[in-house]
Formats: sequence, C-alpha cells, structure tokens
Amino acid sequence: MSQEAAPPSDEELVRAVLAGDRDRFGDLVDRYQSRLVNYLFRLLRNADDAHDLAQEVFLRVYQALDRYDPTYRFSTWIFRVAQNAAIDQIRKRRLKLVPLGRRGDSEGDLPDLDPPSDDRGPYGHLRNTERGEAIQEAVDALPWEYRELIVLRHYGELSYEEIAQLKRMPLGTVKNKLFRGRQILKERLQSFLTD
Amino acid sequence: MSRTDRETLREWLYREQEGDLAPAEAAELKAALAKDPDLAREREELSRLSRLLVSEPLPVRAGFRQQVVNALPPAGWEAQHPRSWWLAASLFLVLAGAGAALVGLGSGRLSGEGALFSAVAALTDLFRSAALAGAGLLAASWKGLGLTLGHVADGSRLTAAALGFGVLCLNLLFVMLWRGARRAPQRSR
Repeated sequence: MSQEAAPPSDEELVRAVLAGDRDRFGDLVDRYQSRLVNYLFRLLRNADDAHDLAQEVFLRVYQALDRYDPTYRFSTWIFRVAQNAAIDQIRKRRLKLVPLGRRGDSEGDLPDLDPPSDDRGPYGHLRNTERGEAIQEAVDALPWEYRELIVLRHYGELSYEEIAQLKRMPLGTVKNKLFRGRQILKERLQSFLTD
Repeated sequence: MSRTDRETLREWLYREQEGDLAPAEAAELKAALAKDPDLAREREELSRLSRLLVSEPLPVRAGFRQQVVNALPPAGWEAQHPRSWWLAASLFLVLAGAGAALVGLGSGRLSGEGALFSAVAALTDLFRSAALAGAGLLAASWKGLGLTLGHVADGSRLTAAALGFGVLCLNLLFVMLWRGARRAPQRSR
C-alpha cells in the first residue's frame, strides 16, 4: 500500500528556496496568500491595499529569507512582517489626515484614528451586505489590543501559541484577551447570533 | 464534581471552541450544559459567532501567486548560492584559460610563423600595453591623492579638521542613501 507523501513543511520550503529553487517560494505564497490578504484586509479595510501590501510582505520576506531563524515558526515571522507593514501603512494614512500639531498616539491606540475607507475596490460589493458591514464594524470598533488578536486568530488563522510567539505575550494573556474580544463581538453581533 | 462558577464556565465555552479544554474540564462543562439551558444557548451563539466571523472571506485576486513570483527581486543571499558560485568560478576559469592561451601564444611569436601567430601576438601586446597604461594611471592618481592629503596634513589644523569633517559627512550621506535604497518599497505594479 502506497502512502501519500506529507507536504513539505514551511521550513523545508524555505531551505529549498535558499538552495536555489526559486519556484518553491510560490508554494509558500500559495500557502499564505489567503490568510495574509484577509488579515490585512481586516486591518486596512481596502481590498486593493490588502493585496498590494500582501505582495510587498512576500517580497520583503523573500529578500530577508536568509535571515529567517527556523527555531521560530515561519507563520509567526511572516505575520510579524505583515503586522509591521500594516501599522506603517496606517501611520502613513493618518499622517495625511491628521492636522499638524496633533499629539502622537502610542502604538496601543494607533489604529483608532484609522479612517474607514469608502473606496473598497472591485471587491467592495462583497462587503455591501448588512451582515458583512456589521461584522466589519464590530471588529473595527474593538480596542486595538483585542482587535489585533481577533484578526490574527480568525483571519490569519494563527494558533494561540503562534500569536503568543508573534506578540511576545504569555499564552495566558493571549487566551484572556481573545476571550474578552470575543465577548465584546458577541454582544455587538447578538442580532446575527440568535434565531 | 467541583462547583465551578458561571464566569469560569463561560470562559470554558470559548476555550472549547478552540479545542483548548482539558478532559476533566470538558466533562464538567458537559454536565453543566445539560443542566443549564442558558449556558447551552450561549454555546450555540458562540459557535455561530465563529462561523459568522469567517463567513465572507475576501477572495484572493486571480494570478496573485504568479504576480508575486514574477516580482521577486534579486535578494542579497542569492549571490551566496552555490550555483551562483559555480557560475562565477566557471566564468573565471574560462577567462583565465583564454588569457593564459593568449599569453602563451604571444610568447611564442618569435618561433611561430604565419599570420595567425602575428595577429595573436599583436593582440597580446595590445592587452599588455593597455594593462600597463591603466596601472600607470591608477598609480598616478593615488600618488596625486597622497600628495594632496600630505599637503593638507602639513597645513593648518583647521584645514585638516575641515577635511575630516567633510569626509565624515560624505560617509554619513552615503550610509543614509544606502539604507534609504534598501527600504524603498518593491512594487511590481
């Protein structure tokens, strides 16, 4: 009886790319593109921006691939790059919109000033449902400390352990913040949860 | 069975969604759910919430993978790749071999006969002359630079300090430009 070979791990793919097999990077793109685009879309609220930034993240990761430390998970690394890139983008947007002289905010409340984008690109129609809008608004309204973990968990599909590693937080803190975040979401989306 | 408070049970509901409950906790929760309809309803709502959150994923645009692969920039680490070394080494060997052949043929011009040997000998002389001229120019440039620096060093301390400051500024400018170029976004579109 023949056994189907297990797909290569992320780390094996990275090694193959570093050994000269450039096409294997495409396999990593396949593996992470949906999670990354959806994660960035929830943070940036614009489909085109999410795709552009996801591409930039992949390119940054490729350029720095030789510096990847395989003692950490590849998923943690790529999402950290994505998170930093998203925060940079949000800062740039804010610089364009916040009048000069306004005090700087700490990273903790950074995205609260992020303006909702009316231009949602060609995918905008997908969001034009009452339910979709409600989900987006509920996620956006979360305090940043909960929102980033909820987005990492549900849209980045990272495990508790991966989030703890990425955020350099104790595992218990991650669980607790996710618990609180979901509680808030449940209250705000109650009308969609009952029969 | 321990008497677990309601808040803890609610937290367990969330952890159950993640498959994060210990067997003992799962058994206790199951017992509590059988007795408490409100808790059972909350469990159902939580399950719906998880489904709701991921109910409308954004589709990745067609051809995204290829777009990324096509836009992959040359990375610094690629130069260290063994295949790259082999290519460079092979090229070096071929050029070195060609050079050695030219010099060897050129040295035998006195004993050799025919137009081919004469042509090769002339070509070799041309390369030698060019190399000598280049080396001479390079040496002269360095000597000139050395003389200038020596003149400045023999002059006032202020002049020497100004020169040092200028060199430092140029270095800083170079580093800033280099770092800026590294940070520049790589967009394919």
